[in-house]
Amino acid sequence: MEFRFFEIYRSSEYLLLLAKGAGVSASLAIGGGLVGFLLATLLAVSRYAEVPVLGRISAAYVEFIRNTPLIVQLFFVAFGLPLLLGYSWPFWAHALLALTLNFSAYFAEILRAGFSSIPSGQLEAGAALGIRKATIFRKVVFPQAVAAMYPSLNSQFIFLFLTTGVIAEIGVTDLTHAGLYIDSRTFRSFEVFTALTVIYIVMALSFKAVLNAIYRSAFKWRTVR
Amino acid sequence: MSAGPKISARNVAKTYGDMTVLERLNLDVEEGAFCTIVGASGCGKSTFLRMLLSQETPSRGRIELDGAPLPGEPTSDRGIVFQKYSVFPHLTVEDNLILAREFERSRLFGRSFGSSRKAARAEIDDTLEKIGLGSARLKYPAQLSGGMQQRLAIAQALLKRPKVLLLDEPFGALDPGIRADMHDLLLGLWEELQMTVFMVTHDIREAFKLGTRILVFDKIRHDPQAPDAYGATITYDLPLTRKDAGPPPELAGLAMNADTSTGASA
Ligand SMILES: Nc1ncnc2c1ncn2[C@@H]1O[C@H](COP(=O)(O)OP(=O)(O)OP(=O)(O)O)[C@@H](O)[C@H]1O
Ligand SMILES: [Mg+2]
Repeated sequence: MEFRFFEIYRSSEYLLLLAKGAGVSASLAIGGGLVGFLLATLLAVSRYAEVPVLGRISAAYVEFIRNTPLIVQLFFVAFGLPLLLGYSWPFWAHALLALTLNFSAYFAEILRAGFSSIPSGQLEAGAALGIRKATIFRKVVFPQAVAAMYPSLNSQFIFLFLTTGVIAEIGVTDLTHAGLYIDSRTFRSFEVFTALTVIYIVMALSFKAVLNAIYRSAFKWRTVR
Repeated sequence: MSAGPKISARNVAKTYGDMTVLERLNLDVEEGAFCTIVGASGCGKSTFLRMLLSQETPSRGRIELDGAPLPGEPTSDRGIVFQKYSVFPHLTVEDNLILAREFERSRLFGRSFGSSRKAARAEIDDTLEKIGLGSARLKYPAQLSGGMQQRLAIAQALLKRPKVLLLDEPFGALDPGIRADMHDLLLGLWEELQMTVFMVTHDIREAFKLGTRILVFDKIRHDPQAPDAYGATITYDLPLTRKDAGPPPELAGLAMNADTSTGASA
């Protein structure tokens, strides 16, 4: 069997599709990651602070999301909920909502572990200085927890990014979607999926590099000696 | 200010569930005293300091500050330094002190205004110089030696301008050589700021070197059937003069058996 990578990519149409798809995948992952992180913070704080009803709801929500497949969540957001609530958004918006909800549950679990990992002496020291509880959380617990959990958040994000390919299933023209499309036109499956693999690897490693650079500049105190 | 004692304890006891940690504590401490506290591990010395700080409340009896019941929560008139974990590792020396001033901001102003911020800076500069950390203001705790970290912890406590300073084995983790420097620093601050000091230590020589008065906590009542039924109390309360060469004979053995005498209850 002979491989003909050139045949697929000589058409600028296909190259453009792949580039656009990569852009869509990256944007939705970053958007879902950022909004998901904010939502995760609310979820984790309400559990950590044992907020009466909200804490329970957060716990149930996190369990629910982490024990159902992303693709089911995606279909639910894209096809189930619109029937119930009568909204109709573009495909990418359904995908963004589903990814945000999905990411937030995984991040929340990591953050909560981070909050509990802060030595109680830090809380006592804050209290002894007469600082209010909410301020201690905001200025002592939260920054230290995020720093401690950053490597886990980082690899969780990469992992979740790699699962975003399923959004092709609801018609979002992401990287996987572009690959499937080109494959259906050319029937050069080996070349197409080799190319997809390489692009995903490069993107994942780039995310990792950027996130590591952010870590080094945002959490200097963990690296200085 | 009243002419009575700065701090007094009347029949104070502290229990956790069925376990009595401290009992029958009676004490009058005059303003400006430097009380050192020694006793076996687990006998309730830290618990006593936490009660003085209002982080714990006595189960029985009462503690008074300037003749009035202790406030229900830590206030700026009392500062504390722990053995460790009392500085914030993610903040520079300077930011550690700025955060330590947060109590004022949240309690009094809500936000610090331009002029008060300037005053705060001046005060932080002043404290850093006084404590010997002037050149380290932009460093993180991980970049400081143990002694420097404890200086920072002391500086944090002093920013509140406390009249009562509580020290819980503040030098326990430091090398002996550094301790001597810290003793000089502490005595200087105590004289300059005219504070009443309570300091827990496991080093009996340190207790005699620094204190004007020594309090020995010990558990004298034992019930073999119920080891937790009785707590420790103050068994010796002696005035010291700084010229004392060392512990008097009846206390000479304390330092050595301090860690074993209540081993059964640990
Ligand atoms: N919050 C708490 N709940 C239950 N028990 C506690 C609590 N705090 C302290 N204790 C118990 O009270 C006893 C006294 O503790 P404390 O820390 O005051 O001792 P200590 O004299 O400071 O000991 P060390 O010299 O080791 O620091 C210990 O047996 C401890 O387990
Ligand atoms: Mg203790």
